[in-house]
Amino acid sequence: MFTTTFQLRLPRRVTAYFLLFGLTAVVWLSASAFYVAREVNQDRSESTSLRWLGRATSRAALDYLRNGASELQPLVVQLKSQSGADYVAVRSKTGVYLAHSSPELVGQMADEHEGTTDEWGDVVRVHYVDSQGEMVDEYQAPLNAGGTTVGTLIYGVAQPDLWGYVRSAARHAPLAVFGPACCMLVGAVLLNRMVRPVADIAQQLSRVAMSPSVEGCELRQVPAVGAAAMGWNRVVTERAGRGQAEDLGQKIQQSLQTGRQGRLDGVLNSIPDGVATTDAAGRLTYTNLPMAAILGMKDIVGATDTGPGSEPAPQMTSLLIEGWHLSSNDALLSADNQHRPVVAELSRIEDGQRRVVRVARHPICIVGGVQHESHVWIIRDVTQQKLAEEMRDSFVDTATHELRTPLANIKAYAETLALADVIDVEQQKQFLNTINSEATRLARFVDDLLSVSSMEVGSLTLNRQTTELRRMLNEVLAKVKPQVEEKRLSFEVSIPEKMPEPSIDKDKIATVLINLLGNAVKYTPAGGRVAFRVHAADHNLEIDVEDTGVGIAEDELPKVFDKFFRSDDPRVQEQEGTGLGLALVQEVVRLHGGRVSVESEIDKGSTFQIVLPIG
Amino acid sequence: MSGQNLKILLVEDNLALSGVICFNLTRAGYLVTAVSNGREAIEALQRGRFDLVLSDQQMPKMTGIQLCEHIREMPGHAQTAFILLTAKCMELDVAKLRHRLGLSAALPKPFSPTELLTTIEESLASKVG
Repeated sequence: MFTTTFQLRLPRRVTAYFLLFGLTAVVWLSASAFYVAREVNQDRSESTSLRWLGRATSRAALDYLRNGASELQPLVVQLKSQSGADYVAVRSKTGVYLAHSSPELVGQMADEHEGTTDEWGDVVRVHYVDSQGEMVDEYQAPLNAGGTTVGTLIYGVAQPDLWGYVRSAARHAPLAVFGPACCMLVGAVLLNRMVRPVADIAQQLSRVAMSPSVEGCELRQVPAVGAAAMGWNRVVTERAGRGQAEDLGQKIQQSLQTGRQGRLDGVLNSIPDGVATTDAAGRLTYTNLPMAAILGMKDIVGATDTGPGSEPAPQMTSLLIEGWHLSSNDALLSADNQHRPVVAELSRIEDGQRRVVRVARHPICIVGGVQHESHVWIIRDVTQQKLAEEMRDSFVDTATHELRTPLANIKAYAETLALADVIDVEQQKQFLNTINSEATRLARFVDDLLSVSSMEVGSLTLNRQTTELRRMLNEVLAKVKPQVEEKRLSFEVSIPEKMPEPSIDKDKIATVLINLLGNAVKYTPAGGRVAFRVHAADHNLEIDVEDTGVGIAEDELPKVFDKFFRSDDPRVQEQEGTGLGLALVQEVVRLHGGRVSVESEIDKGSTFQIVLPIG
Repeated sequence: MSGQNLKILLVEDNLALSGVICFNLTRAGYLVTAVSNGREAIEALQRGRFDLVLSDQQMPKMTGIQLCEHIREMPGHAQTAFILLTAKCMELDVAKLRHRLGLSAALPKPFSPTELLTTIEESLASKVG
C-alpha cells in the first residue's frame, strides 16, 4: 500500500523534487540574507552605539584620572577595534584631538560637522555626510574626570550602505552559499538519476525509429531505477531470450573465449559425437572438432568466423550432400520437417571400409516452446553398431533358415508317409531315417541357440565332474568320423597312452572339440588332411586341431571368435553355419580358465589350439 | 493324374527336401528334373523346355529371386510359371514380385506336399487359362 500510494508519475515527481530542493535553497538563502542584514545593522545601531559610547566614556575617564591625557591614545585605538565604530576620538575643550583612532589627527583641530543633530541630555548625535559622501552618525559625550569636564568623547559610526552589506555577505558567504548549493546539488543528482534511464530508453527508441528494422537494433538494459526502467529491462531480456536461439553458436564461442573457456571447449571437443549449430539460412554457426572431422572441414567454425569480411560459413546440408551422398529427397531437406526433429543415416566408403553415421537434427527451442529456424545437429559414428546389427540380422537370417529347413523336411516327409497309400517298406524306412536326422539337426541347433543365449546373459555355467579323458575323446572322434570318411580326408589322431582325469564339464568340452573338428572337416576340401593332437603336460592339457582347409584371411583372424561372425570367403559362405560355434568354444574354454588360439594362412589351413588347466 | 507330361524344374540345395518333393511330384505324374543351385537351373533351362520352375529362395551364390530375374531375361521364358519356396514369406513383398517378375506363387516353408501340389496345379492352370 505504502509503495503504491507514493508512486507518483515521473513529471509530478520531477516537479515535486524541483520545488522541494528549490524551496529549501530559497529559504536557506533568505535566512542567510536576514542574518547578514541583522549583523550589519546590529553593529551600527543606535542602541549599540550608545552602549559603546557609555562604556568608552567611563573607561576613558578612568584612564584619564589614572594616567592623564597621554594614555588616551591606546584606549581609542583599542575601542575602535573592539566596537563597530569607524573612528573613536577624544576632543579637548579647546577643540583639539587629544586622541584619535587615526593617530595622524592627534593634536589637530577637530572638524565641525554640519548635519542634523539629536540630543539626549548631554549626549549629542550629529548625522552628517563626510568628504567621501558616506553617511556617518557621530555620537559625542562629555568626558568627566573627577567632577570636571576634560573633553568630549567622539564615537563615529558610518551608516550601513550597499558596500557594507557586500562585505558582510562576503564574510558569511561560505555558509550562506554552501547550504543552498548542497541542496541544489543533491536535488540535481536525484533528478538526474530519475531521468537518466528514461533518457536512455528514449535514445534507444529514437535509434529504433531511425533504423530500417526493429529486429536489427541492439537494445540494452538501463539502470533498474523506477518502473519504466524495470519494464524496459524486462522487454530487453525477453527480446534477448528470443534472439538467444539464433545466437547459440555465438554464445558457445563467446563462452569458450572467456571464463570457463577451456572446460566447455574441452567438453564439446571430447565427446565423440559431432555437434554443430546452424542459423536460419542453414549455415554453420558452430562445430566441434569431431564434427569438423566428420564433415571433412579444415577448421572448426566459431561465431568469429562468420563476422563481416570473412567468407560465409558453409551450409550443413550442402556439406552432407557433397561428403555423405545425402540424397536430394531426404527428409533432412524437406521444408515440412524444419520444425521437427529429423534423424537420417548416411554412409560412405573410407579407405575401403564402409562408414555409417547417424545424423540427428533438432530445432532449437528456447524456454516457452517458441521455435526458430536455427538447428542443432548431432552426428554419431554408428559404424560398429551397424556392423553388429548386420551380424545379428544375418544371424536371424541364418537361424530362420536353420530352423525352417529341418522343420520343412520333417513336415514334408511325415505328410508324405501319412498320405501316400502305396509306398514300399524300404522307402518308408529311408523317409523315417531322414525325419530322425533332421530332428537331430534341429535339436543341435536349438542347443547352440540356448548356449549362446546363456553366453549373452552370462549365465553359462559349468557342471564339472571328474572325467575319463580317453573315453570322452573317443566319443568325440566317433561323432566326427562319418563326416571325415564321407569327404575322404586323411585323419591323424595322436592321443597319449596315459591320460589324467581332470575335473571338467565333460559335455561342454566335448561340444567344443566337436565344433573345432567339425569346422576342420567342413572347410577342408576332399582329400585334405585333418590332425587331432592331445598333449598332457603337468598342469595343462593341450589340444591341437589342424587342417589343410581354406584358411582364414589375416584381417578376419581377430574376429573369428566373435558371435555371429562368418567369413566373407565364398567357400565358407557356401557351407551352412551359424557363426556361433567358435564363440561358444571360446566361452567354454574361458570358463575353464583356459585359452584358445588360432594360427592360419589363407588357402593353406588353420590350427586351433586349446590349453586347459587341469592342475 | 493331373500332371501328365508336364515338366517341372526343381531347384533346391537341401537334398532331403529335394528328395521328398521329387517323390511327391513324380507320384502326381509330373516329369521332375532336380538341380541344386541356380547355375545348374539355368543350364537345364538352356537345354530344354519346362512348364514350371519350383525354386528355393535361400541358396548359396544365387537366390531364387535372382534366378527368376535371370530366367525372365532368357528367350522363351518370359511366361514360364515360377514358384518360390521360402522360409521368409513375410519379408517378401509377394504382390510386388508377382507384378515385377511374373511370380506365380510363393510357398512358405514348412509346407505340406498337398499344399505344394495344389499351388502347382493352380499356377499351371492360370498360365493355360
